[in-house]
Amino acid sequence: MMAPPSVGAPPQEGIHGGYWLEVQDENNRVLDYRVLQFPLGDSVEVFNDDGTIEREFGPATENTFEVLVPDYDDASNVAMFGESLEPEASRARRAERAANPEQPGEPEPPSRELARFKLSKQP
Amino acid sequence: MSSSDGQVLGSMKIVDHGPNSDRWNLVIVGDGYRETELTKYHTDVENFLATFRATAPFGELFSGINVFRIDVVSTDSGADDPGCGGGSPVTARTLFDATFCSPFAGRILERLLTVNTTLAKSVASTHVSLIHQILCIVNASKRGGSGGDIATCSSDPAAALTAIHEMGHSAFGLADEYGGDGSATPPGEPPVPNVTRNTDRTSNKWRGLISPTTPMPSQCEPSCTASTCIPPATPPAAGAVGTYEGGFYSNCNVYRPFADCKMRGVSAPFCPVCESVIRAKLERFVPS
Repeated sequence: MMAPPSVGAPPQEGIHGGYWLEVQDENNRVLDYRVLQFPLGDSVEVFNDDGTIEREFGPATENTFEVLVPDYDDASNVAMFGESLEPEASRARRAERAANPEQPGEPEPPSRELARFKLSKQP
Repeated sequence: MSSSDGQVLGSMKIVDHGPNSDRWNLVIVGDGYRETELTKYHTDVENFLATFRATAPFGELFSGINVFRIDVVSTDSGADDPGCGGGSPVTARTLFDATFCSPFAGRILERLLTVNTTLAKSVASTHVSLIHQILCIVNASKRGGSGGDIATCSSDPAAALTAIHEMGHSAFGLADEYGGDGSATPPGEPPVPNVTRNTDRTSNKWRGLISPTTPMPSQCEPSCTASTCIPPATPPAAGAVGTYEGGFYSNCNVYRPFADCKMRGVSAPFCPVCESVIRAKLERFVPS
């Protein structure tokens, strides 16, 4: 099965927000990546009759997701990067900052490594 | 759901452009179709495919796509509709338990049409190998749909546009281009290809599609009072790719590439940047 390519430059820890997975070699060099759009299951879209769209947000839920990545011979790790795993609290802080632009407080940090998984070859 | 609510009759490769190992494989399942309504299901699938092919750039890339149709029959016609939008509650015994008025975070959303995605994925993977995207069409004239692993839409013609928007997320990694209060917008630069905080024409992620004569930023969002966006002296030419304020759930300081796009409103075509992303994702599946 062929995996579609990722498009664009790979996101970088400390610069980008959101969530993504990296396939890395044993020296943690990025071989491939996949952006994860809604990995926490914390939103749904609502489609209005006039063609406009809104997204409803809620708490993170126990969730599974599938990610298709190319099969690299030298792949060694999969690392997951992301923001807070408590998105409701993050959204509340951002909403408060937006309501008080004169006192924005500390900016939120972009995404960081959340988890790392060792890959092994199937026999 | 129980086995008495429906059964799978079989599957058919209705668009065959080559081996599954070399193509992008779309699988369509149905729910809420009785056996006597299978002809309608087949027509609904064809109607969806007509909309899909008419949506650029899928038509030009269609030779890289296989489509499978799985014929599923249900005991009852339609979907559950608890009547949250008015009207009498309706219950339909269907294999994938299609339901309008699905709950989310304590709220009932009338047009949130969901199915048992675990079962639908299991049925799809039992009948088709090497799947890239699953779509479930529900036999209901009311407009509804949902995203996630499986794009779901009702058989209302306008709902096909909803499904294509959801495939923009799940299959092609595109972000929503509509705004909001910003509370759901991630910090930092978005990792997605079609929204940005960067209005610098020399480093913007879609700079290759921006004309030297297009002002940057190209348009500020008038409703935004907390923006650093400086309105251009002259507006961009109609149809110009640039940086238009508002996107990724924020009306302020986040930019989309185009005035309108299917990732902003389902009736619009994909914008040139989203089209280019889809093309880049699918080109390797197109036979040379």
